Amino acid sequence: MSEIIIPIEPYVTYNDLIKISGRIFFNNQDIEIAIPENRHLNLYNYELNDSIQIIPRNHNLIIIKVSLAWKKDFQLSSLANLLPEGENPTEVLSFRLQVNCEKTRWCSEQKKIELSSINKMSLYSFEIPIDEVKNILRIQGFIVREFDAKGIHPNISDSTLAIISTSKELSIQIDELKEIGGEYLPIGPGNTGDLAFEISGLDNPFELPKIFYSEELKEFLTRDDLTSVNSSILTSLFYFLDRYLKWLIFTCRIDLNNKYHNSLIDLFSKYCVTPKEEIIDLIQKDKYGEAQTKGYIELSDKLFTGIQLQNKYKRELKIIYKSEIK
Amino acid sequence: MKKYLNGLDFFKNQLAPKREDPLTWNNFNTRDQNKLIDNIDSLQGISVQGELLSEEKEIILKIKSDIKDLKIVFQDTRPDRLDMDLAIIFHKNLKKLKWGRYHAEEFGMWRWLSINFFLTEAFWRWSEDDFNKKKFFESSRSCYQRLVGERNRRILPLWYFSIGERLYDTHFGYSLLEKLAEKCREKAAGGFGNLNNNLNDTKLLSPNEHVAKTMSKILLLGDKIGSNDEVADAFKRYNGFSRRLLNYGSEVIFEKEICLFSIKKAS
Repeated sequence: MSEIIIPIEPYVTYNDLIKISGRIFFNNQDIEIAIPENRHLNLYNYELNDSIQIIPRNHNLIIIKVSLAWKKDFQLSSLANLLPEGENPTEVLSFRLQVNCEKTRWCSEQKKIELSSINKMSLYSFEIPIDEVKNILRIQGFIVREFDAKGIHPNISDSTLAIISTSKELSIQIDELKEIGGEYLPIGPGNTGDLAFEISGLDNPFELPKIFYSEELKEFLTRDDLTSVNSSILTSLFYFLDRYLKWLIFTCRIDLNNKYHNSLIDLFSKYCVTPKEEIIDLIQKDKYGEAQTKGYIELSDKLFTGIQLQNKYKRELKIIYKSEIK
Repeated sequence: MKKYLNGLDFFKNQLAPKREDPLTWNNFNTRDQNKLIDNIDSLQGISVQGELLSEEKEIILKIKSDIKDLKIVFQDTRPDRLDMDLAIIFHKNLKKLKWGRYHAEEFGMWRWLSINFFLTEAFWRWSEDDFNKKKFFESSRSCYQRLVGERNRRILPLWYFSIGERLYDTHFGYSLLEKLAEKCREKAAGGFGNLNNNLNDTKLLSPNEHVAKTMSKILLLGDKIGSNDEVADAFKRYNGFSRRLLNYGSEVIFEKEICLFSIKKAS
């Protein structure tokens, strides 16, 4: 039997036309927190101005109020270019907005908003039950077709619910993420000889290297109530992550269908505050070429500050030091 | 509730039955719950945290007693045909503890619950058939895969609780699950197995579990009952539509584009 590959041209899309902004509220409390311009808010142990900390899990509900705005200088009529001739964007298209949590697979109701009613003044509210979600919440918005188009239209979306524009999502971290030794970096006990830590597999371009710690340290490192353990992990973090960054850029043969590769890119994208696409682009440049090496040095510098800011490093160290004084 | 602090790899390395080593089969071919717990508690490096509260124990015993009753009422029915009934039992009872999706992610807790209370049920549902055919390795492996969880989401009580979370409705309660349970019991064929696999293994992010409910209804409650292949294909088709926002699509779209039945040739 012969096999024929029929190429299907993707239809034209125009992403990021509508900007999503959001603010967080907690029920029965006069607290309001804006999601910053970088579109990510770490709510876990968020510190208010009066140094009171927010612990999202102590609340039953998180309320998210979302406002929408068209991209500057964008005209609604331009959307007609993405539709079959004669169709009116305001009649055929709508904006759909939802909040979800991939970890627990929870999804909010979906709000369907007419394009003509989108302006900065309208607020769309979501109540998020805390028992249904974990780690990260994502606020997503899409312009979609509401009806099938008549006839056949190559390169133009013509099916019901085809996405013709995806807005940049907002993310809210609500729990502590156990990244080291947890979801991203493989770490475990092993025979490390005289070494306390060893990273193996650094020359394997396909599989993530693994961090081993000495079997003799296992009984201590598997506990989470020892401040000395916490402080040694915190300080090792810089080297471990920088070594993984080097591996990812210079050694890894990237496979975008590999969930471990993707998780690692996500991690560096967050810590280095750099879009995933830029990191992927850097990995695919000439190995050890000038551009790649320069790119690595820039990311490495960003990583050094990113780890500290994302993990509230200064505050964690302060807590550890204070506990020793007591 | 108590939980194991050790992860999946710990249990895999120390407990997974190996074909070449029949001694490793024994843990899961025994029906002695206490012996199994003793063996697992004596594993080097095992670590348990937390307390089992009296109301939690009460609910667990209620689940076990409900399953016993189910086995009596449907004694001539194959255990796999009772999966939807089991999902109702686990979900309805565990909801009384106010467990939500946040708890579903506590795999160490589910594993502890499973290993410490549900050996009989895991053996009956997944292993007895092979055991009676003297396929001792296969029997032991299936029991391990569901009791300890070859994959986290396949741990027996979590597996059934998750099906309940997908198909329970705040307005209509368990009516969809009850209808599916009835169909599952009466039909010797039908893709209930693949439905349950997909309800557990795929993300299907949708408002009020619209996708899970709509697909279950169309594929397994209509005039035609979807086969295992048809159910699997429908989920593949749904997940393939990455450029359409179908997670709140109408039933018509699901009928026309996703939940398709193959046309059988007349003989």
